[in-house]
Amino acid sequence: MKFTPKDLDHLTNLARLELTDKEKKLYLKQLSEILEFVEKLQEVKIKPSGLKLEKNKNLRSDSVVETTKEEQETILGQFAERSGNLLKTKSIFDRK
Amino acid sequence: MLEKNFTIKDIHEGLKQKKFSCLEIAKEYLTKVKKNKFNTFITVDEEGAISQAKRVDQKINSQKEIGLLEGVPIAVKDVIMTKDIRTTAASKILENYTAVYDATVIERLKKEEVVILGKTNCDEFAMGASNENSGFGPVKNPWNTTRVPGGSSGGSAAAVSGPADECVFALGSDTGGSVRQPAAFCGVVGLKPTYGRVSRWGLIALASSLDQVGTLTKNVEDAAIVLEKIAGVDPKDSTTLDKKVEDYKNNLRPITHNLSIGIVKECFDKGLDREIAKTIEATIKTINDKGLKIKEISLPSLDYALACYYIIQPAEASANLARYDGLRYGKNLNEGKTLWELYQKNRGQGFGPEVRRRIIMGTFVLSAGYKDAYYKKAVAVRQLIKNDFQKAFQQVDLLIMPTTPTPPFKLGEKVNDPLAMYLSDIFTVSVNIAGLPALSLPIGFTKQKLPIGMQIIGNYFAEGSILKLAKFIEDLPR
Repeated sequence: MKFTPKDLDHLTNLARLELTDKEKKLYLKQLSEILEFVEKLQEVKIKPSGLKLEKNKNLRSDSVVETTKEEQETILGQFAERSGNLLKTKSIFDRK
Repeated sequence: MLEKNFTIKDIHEGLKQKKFSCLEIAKEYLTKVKKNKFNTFITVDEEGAISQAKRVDQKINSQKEIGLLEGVPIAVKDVIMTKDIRTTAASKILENYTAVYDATVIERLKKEEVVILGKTNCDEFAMGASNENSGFGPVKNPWNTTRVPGGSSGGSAAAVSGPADECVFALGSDTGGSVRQPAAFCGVVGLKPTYGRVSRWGLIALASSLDQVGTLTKNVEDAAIVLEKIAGVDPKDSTTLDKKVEDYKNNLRPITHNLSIGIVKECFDKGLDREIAKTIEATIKTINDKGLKIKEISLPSLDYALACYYIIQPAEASANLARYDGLRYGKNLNEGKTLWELYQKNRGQGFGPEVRRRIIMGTFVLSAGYKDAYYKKAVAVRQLIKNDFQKAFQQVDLLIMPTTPTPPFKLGEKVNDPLAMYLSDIFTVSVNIAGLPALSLPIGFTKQKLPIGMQIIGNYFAEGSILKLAKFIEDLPR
């Protein structure tokens, strides 16, 4: 299977990645080569299987860990834009 | 000028006997680090290193006992969180990110009072085999600066290597060979422990079912010393196992003579560089002559390991890297009208080419209509590879494989051909797929004076036996 420009647009949209036209051209070629390589697995006669999740006994309790004011400020200070202790973003809903 | 290439014990003895102070040592290494001859470091923490060295000196001057790692100058791959020190994962998207907590491995090493010199260069988000995918420029191989140091832990391996000697040891991470492959290219010892032996808490995730923190050291003994300190269960990483950490360093000798070693024959069939093959064959002959049992072993599914890896790894990476949007941390270009467009721009421009390729590939193999044929198929093949290794370990205790198919290649040689770059991982990825421990040991040089590494693989939690065999080979007269 080879990637088409339409496939690539669909995937970059799912992955929220903007590519330039030049990059698109290059990636189509490179990704198709990689895909061709991994298709080797189709030779293996085995049924696809999902991950079997074993019950993990090592989970820690879901509890709040106290942080210092300083630590909180280091975290908040890395927000691109903030309003007090809130993270400010562009509007989430399209206003058309 | 101090002597070169100190090991952990050299530093420890020197400090104890007051041959030098910890501050002198720290300054000496910092001078080399700051010259940045091979572009090994992304961030140098001079202030932190100096103040830690002074603390160690105070302790020595007040006649207190010091621990084995106390005052030892180390470097940390920039995918491992170090509180209050910039941690970039060699990505422009995290260029200005300061870690808000310490990784468990860092917490443990800080308890041992090491001196952290800084953060080493690597491939962006640990994706690469040459260190050329770094957002901060490639690292040069200190043995030959026209060659790559390997990757992704290229900066860590190069910093430890003999000709650079910019630290005593370094931490790296290994998802598909990222500790062992650069160790082979830079002529140092690279250890990737069993999945679950060392905590991944605070290791910036690439592929969570494959990632493991590992060590780059000047010799086998140092690998044993460091592993002992960083290994063990951690409530913050539920995949760590509550299994006793062995006294690795005091059990390196003697070699157990009934130890049986399997040579994986598929690795020597085709595509392996002649000089590497010859050097490994000579090493095998020597250990056989010394009385160790050697047996040829077949791992039939090995042929599928690389394809399996390049489905599972991008799949997990695409999920793990979904968190980088430039809002909570990292670089925000603040372009685009909507939030959607802002995400696309921040991620499109913040991530480098290889990271984007893998995110796209990972998104594809997990997407509706293709998940069964690609991702779920790879998960099924993963089990076959695990089974093959288990069959092998019913016959022998350890396996020997080359670490890399070729010696260090030239800078720029494979940068435009991602598939050719992926083939550099051909002998290392199967170990991560199975979750096994493995070590790359330097065993010689090519005619062009490029280092050669050999891989020793053990069953789960067999780090002790791996280190024993590695030490035995290291001690052989050359």
